[in-house]
Amino acid sequence: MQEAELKKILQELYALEPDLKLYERELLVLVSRMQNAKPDTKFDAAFATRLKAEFMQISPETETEIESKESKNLNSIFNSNNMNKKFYLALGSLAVISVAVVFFVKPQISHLINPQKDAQEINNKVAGAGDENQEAVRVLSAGAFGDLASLGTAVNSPSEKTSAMALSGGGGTFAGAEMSRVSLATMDTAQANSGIAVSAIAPDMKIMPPFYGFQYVYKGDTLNLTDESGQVYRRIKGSPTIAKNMAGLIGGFDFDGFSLSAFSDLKASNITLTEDKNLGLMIYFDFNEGTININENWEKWTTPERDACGGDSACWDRYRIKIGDVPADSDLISLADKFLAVHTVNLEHYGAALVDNYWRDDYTRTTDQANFYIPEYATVIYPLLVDGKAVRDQSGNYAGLRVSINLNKKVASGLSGLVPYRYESSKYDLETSSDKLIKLAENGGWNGNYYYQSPENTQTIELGTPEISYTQIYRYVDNRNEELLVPALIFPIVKIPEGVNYYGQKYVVVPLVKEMMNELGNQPGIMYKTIQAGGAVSGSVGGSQGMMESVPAIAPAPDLMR
Amino acid sequence: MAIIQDKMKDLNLALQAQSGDQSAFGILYDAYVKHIYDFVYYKTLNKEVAEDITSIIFIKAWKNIRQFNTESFMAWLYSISRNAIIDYYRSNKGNINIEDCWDLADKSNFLEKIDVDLKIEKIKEAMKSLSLVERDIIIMRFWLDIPFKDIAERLGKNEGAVKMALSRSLKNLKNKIPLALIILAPGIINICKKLN
Repeated sequence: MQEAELKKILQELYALEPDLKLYERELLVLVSRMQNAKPDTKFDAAFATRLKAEFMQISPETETEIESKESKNLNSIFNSNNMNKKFYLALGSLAVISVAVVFFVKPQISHLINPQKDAQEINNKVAGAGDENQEAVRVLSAGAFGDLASLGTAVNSPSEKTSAMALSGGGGTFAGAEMSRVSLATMDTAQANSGIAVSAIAPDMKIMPPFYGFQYVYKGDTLNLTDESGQVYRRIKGSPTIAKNMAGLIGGFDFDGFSLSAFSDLKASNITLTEDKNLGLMIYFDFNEGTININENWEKWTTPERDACGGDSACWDRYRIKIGDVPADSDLISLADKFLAVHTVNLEHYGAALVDNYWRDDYTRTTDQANFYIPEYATVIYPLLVDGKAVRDQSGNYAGLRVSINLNKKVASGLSGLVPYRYESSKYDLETSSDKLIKLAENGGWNGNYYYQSPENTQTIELGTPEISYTQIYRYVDNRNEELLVPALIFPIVKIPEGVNYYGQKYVVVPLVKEMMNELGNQPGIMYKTIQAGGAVSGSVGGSQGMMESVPAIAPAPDLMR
Repeated sequence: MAIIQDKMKDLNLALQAQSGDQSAFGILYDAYVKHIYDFVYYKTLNKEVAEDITSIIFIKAWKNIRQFNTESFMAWLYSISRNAIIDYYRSNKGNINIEDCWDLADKSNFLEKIDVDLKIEKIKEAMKSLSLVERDIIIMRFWLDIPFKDIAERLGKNEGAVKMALSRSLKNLKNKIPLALIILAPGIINICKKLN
């Protein structure tokens, strides 16, 4: 860490405790010595590979297991009985059939199971009348999703339940019903994340590079936005009818004396099926979220020669993925295409595939490429298409169907993000002022920006002409996590100063919905404190230069994680 | 190297992992394994111990991914890490209230094991006077290059409190360690290494 950086840290401290400045020289020496004391951590990439291989053979606790920890009564019931295997077989078959109906309405998917003589009969029984005939997009009246303004500044806070977690919000925040607890803190972090570059050197180097601030500057064409209104989409998730019928169908089973008849209002939440064969897959259906994920059935994906390495790091290192092991993007896409074709996944609503090469930036920058940890899985993304546009996430990255490629075995081995194409749409007013939109983009858009306090160290990041698309965001409402697709401008970053390492967002996203954007532009309550010479502190409202000041942060994670 | 999180991406991946997407958790692992390992190493100063604890951390995180319900995956991972380190020392050193290797001393009789001089003892005593959180802040800010706001998030505190804690820690150290005796590095590290 350079002296300038140390001084910067101390400056921040002086703002709180001015008398500390009296001892600056001693403090600089003290902190410098601490810096010099920074040990080499001897990080071993082979260890990382080995550990990943180990923990990926463990299944996460299911919701049932989590709940059972909290409920001794239920725990004792289920532990004292050996469930009838027939139950699983029957449930599995029925679930797949129902999911085939709910998610795809495509008969081809049923090849995932053995065809059953009475499949159609069960199919109808599980699906219930009307579910399979729902239109892809149901048009609602204007403003039907309520006030979206809060999405422009903050999102729904995570609640006590896992499912409550939601992404969204202007300034890259996560908030919601309890937004006061989180909003400013997370915005602060998100902004820092989005616009700041700190270290540009190998991990083993002790000296920090210059500390940059960034300013986004628009260099694209003149914008001509004429649509004064546009559609916002909300995904229709799951099907209560199917979830209930699924539970109803198994209600008559006898689990070695335990009967479900004493329970009421049952519905199926999720189910996992596994292929019991070499390189078999594990298929997870979530009836609440309406999603399907496919992973490796870890029991059937062993690598005996590597597993035999034991504590021999050199042996593990031999099996670590090297850069030469990573297939070309076109080959990865071919593997993914083949996987989807074999499993007859319906790609009607997904765009052309591309490879998520997120790790290559760091690989390019590192000075120790030989020891760089290359992920064992590559991801091929098929962007979700809505109105012919490729949907993005809030950072501008493509959102949609993701296929995992196992680089050790050179085969596709899983997918996520497969959802039924069922949406509701509602019209909202859109912003057309190019000046306003560009100004928001130059402030970092949805994810915000972070300004370093020394203007002389600020670097210019150039933004190109945006494309109009939809951004996938989440909103927590009525104990449910809603998935919305909101019209937005996606500004690409087209130029970064030579020699500057920029780790921030690769796109700047500006929502077009007027009521959201107004909030994003106002950024109410976000105070920046600019540290002035002599330690004085002045305040200004969002967008001004300076270091963000103290904000509330999250509560510590629960002790149960021990 | 400091990690600049893409919080949105992390949350998306965590959500996917919660729904059973193993590869999504794998991406999070790839992004954070070195960072977490480094943090643990700085708290234990022993490669084997750091690897053991890092293993425990990620296995716990994966097994309990469905219990993740905060707004930052990194903060959640840190809370598991801190608890895992504390558990490690408590389980390996009896019922003594030991938080990390820096706390080892009182009942470990380390002075008999190492060649320690007066200067090192003074510095060790000074560092010992800091709380666990204060030591964490020093490690995160000066060794892991984590900005104050991110440290605050990982520790579940506000940024002002983190800065204040660091100010007081430095003041404390400065008062307890005369300038001529500031020789922090090798001595302290050796103490920890020999005790592990």
